[in-house]
Amino acid sequence: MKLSIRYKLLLVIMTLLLIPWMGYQYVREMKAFVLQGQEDALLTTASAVATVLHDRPELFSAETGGPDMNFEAGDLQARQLPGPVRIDGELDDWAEIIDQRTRYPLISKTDPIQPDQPDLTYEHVLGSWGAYLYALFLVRDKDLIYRDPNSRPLNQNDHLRLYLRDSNDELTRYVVTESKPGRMDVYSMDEDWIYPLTGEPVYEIISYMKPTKDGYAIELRIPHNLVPDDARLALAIADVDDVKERTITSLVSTSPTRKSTQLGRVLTPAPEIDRILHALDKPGTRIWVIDQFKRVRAVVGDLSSIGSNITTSIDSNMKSLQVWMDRILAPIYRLILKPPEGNFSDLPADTRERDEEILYQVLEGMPATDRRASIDKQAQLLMAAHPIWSGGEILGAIIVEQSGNTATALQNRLLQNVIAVTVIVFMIVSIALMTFTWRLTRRIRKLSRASGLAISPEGRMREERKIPDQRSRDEIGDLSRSITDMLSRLSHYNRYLESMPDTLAHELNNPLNVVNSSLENLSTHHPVISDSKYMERAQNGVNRLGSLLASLTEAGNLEEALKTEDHERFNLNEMLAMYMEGYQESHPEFKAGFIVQLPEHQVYINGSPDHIAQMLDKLVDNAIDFSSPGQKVSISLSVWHQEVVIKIMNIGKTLPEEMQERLFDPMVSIRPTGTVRSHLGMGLHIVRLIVDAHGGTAIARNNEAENGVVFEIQLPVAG
Amino acid sequence: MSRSIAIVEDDPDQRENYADALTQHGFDVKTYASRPEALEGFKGGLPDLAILDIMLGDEPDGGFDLCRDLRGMSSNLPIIFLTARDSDIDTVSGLRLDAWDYLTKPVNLQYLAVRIASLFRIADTLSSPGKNNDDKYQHGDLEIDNQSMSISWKDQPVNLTLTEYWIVESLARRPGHVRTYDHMMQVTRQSMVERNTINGYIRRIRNKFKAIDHDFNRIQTVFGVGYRWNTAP
Repeated sequence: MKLSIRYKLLLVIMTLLLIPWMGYQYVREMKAFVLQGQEDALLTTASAVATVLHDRPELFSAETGGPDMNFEAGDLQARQLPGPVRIDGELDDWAEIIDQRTRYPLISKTDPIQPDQPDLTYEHVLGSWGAYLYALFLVRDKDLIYRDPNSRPLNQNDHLRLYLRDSNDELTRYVVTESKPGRMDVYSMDEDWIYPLTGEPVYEIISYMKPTKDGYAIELRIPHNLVPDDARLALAIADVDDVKERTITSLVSTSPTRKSTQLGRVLTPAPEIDRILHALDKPGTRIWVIDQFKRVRAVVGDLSSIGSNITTSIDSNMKSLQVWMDRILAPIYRLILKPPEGNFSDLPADTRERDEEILYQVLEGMPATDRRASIDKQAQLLMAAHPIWSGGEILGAIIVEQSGNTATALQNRLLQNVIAVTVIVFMIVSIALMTFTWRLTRRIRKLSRASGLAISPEGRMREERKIPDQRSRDEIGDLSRSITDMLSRLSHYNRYLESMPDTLAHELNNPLNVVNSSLENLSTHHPVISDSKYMERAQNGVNRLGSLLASLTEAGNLEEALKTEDHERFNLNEMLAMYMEGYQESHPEFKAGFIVQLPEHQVYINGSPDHIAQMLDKLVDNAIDFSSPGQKVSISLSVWHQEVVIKIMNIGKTLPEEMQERLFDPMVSIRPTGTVRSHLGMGLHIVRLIVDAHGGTAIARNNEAENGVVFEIQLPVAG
Repeated sequence: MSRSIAIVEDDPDQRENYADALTQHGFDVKTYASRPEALEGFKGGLPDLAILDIMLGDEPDGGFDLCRDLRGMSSNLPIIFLTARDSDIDTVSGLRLDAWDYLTKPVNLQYLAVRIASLFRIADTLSSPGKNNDDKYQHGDLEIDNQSMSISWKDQPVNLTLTEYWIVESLARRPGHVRTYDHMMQVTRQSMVERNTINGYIRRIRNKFKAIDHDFNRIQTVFGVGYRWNTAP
């Protein structure tokens, strides 16, 4: 495959693509470095928080379940509320703990049982303040079915179920239902959840329902005394979708099963820890307190809305050129970079327990850092964990979390800069290099074409040679000058060679004249000698020598004559016919004769008829000389593509392959030496000189049957 | 009184051979080897005819210069160039200097003598014009004077060299008949004549006629054979 310099340079330019790669590597290291720094800072924070909690085992005391208690599926964890919640459908009372809500149905690895109807989902959070437990349900339900006030069964509409088992293993069932938005009715129910045990609602439990745009919200307040420490509780939302059939299509409980033994415990928060943690709270950071059983004791803080701030703050610092570049390159960025998600969400489905690698490490007493993706996979989170000590014992651990979006945003910004710089550099360098190569290759091509044209296809030097780049001082200029130098030297030598026969003939003519005149004088002074056969032979020799010298100079003289000759338009048919007739008359010794084929229409060319005749002389003489005895010579005239083609064919000895090209060069002959009609190989050279002067071409080749030779002369047709 | 001929030729062998042959023909021959030598000799009197070589010693165009000098001394002295240089350019420049003829080597000494005799005849006729018109004959517009070896076309003299005159005379003598190259080679009275040389003569002759008559086309090429004088245009 031929690779032009242009493509080679293009390949070289491709190495510029290393710049973005280098940039990428650099930015990655940078990000790692930034993240490392952030982790270190987090660890410091974790350590600081842990220090506050050191040696305070009472914080982890068993007031919400003994320290030996393991966390089980279905257990409910109540969060510490900052104050009482008004049961009025307004949710702003929940702001403090609403982030810690849990999503149901639980999607858990350990429990492969999935809810039948995944279209019913809700988020739930349990809070505690004073003497009450508060529960909030945010239900996503497209068909909100209220209770028909005239219907006795309470299970034919959307409702909330409460399972409550007290210390005496007595199970109480409550249904929270409504026939319109607002304050809800709570009934104690029978075993089948169909009819209330009494017509009287339960007044201790207060509930309020408010429709939302994709379902409804329920607030619920239960007095702590209904739910003692060892009581067990489960909450479930029953969903009815069809207003006519009114059957329950799905029931989603906080407990993985409906068995009463599987009801969960209610774990209330450690208010002291929460208080301390709230003092440490800072934006974009979330602090978890975990006890030694990996139960979450407290969580404060919010992770989101930091990354986006960073991005915007950087954006506002950008210069206008960068803005412009960024707008152009935006599609590339989108292709390569994932913008950091400012509004990612990391709300765990279950905030009661954490079971991660980092916890094992930290609970062994080792401070640790780790990274994980946020729950919605939109962001990378950094975690630092530090153990909480009490004496020589590990009470639990602090986990501080922060979003890695700052670093990601930084990385993306740097990468964008790298891309922008690369694109600009790439374009500038490419344009510069391409321009340079284009100029360079154009000069080289021009030079190569010019030097190719300096010699004609026949291998003759042209008189007018225009080699470009004579004046440039660079290497191509040098090359051009040396080509010119080479050509002119070659041309001088060529001219010397071409003038050689002429010079030689002139130099030989003088001594020949001496011999000639001496012989004549000899025969005048001694008439006896003039009759001698030796005298005759000497005279013959002189004549032959003279004719040889004449043919040597003929070419040179012809060339000069051709330069000055005026061309006239003449009829080639007539001329050829006349010529052949004349030739046969004047050469009666060639008996085999000719086959002449002329076209019916008249063919005209511009030229010198004398010289065309001279050319024919040479070709016909040549054809006759090489004809096998008794074979006719055929001459044809035709027109082909605005070219007159004269073909002269003879049957006889064929041309050696290597001679076909050189046959028209001077002093090249394939005649056997010693023949009387010696031409010194100038005949066909004269043919070429004449054909050249007429703007045509002469070709010699063996004919198809390989039993003879064809000379083909092509001349342009006259208009 | 015998005619005097000056031969200027740098090659002694050729010079002596010419001298011997021409002396044999009864001419009074003086020989010179170079241009200064010849000029020195001419101070004692001009010859009746001069034969010049073009290349004289180290002067490549010595003959041409000498011819110019001679023309300065005499406007009607017959001058023949006899040289090895046979190119068209040399021929033309020689004839432009009013040389009467231009011959290329090798030369046939017999022909040379004939040629010299003819030139003397022309010179005689020119020096005594109107003596007799017996030898004139006419072919249509063409008038040939055998005595002065001159030709007129439509009553205007055509300035031909001796060789050119012989060619036209030969063609016109048998109008309508082809004169072959071989025949015309004889007519030029030179030893070695190529077809190309004949073509060159014909070209120059046509040009000279065309200078008088733009539509001149009487000399017709018979390709491959020779030329013919057409009686009708």
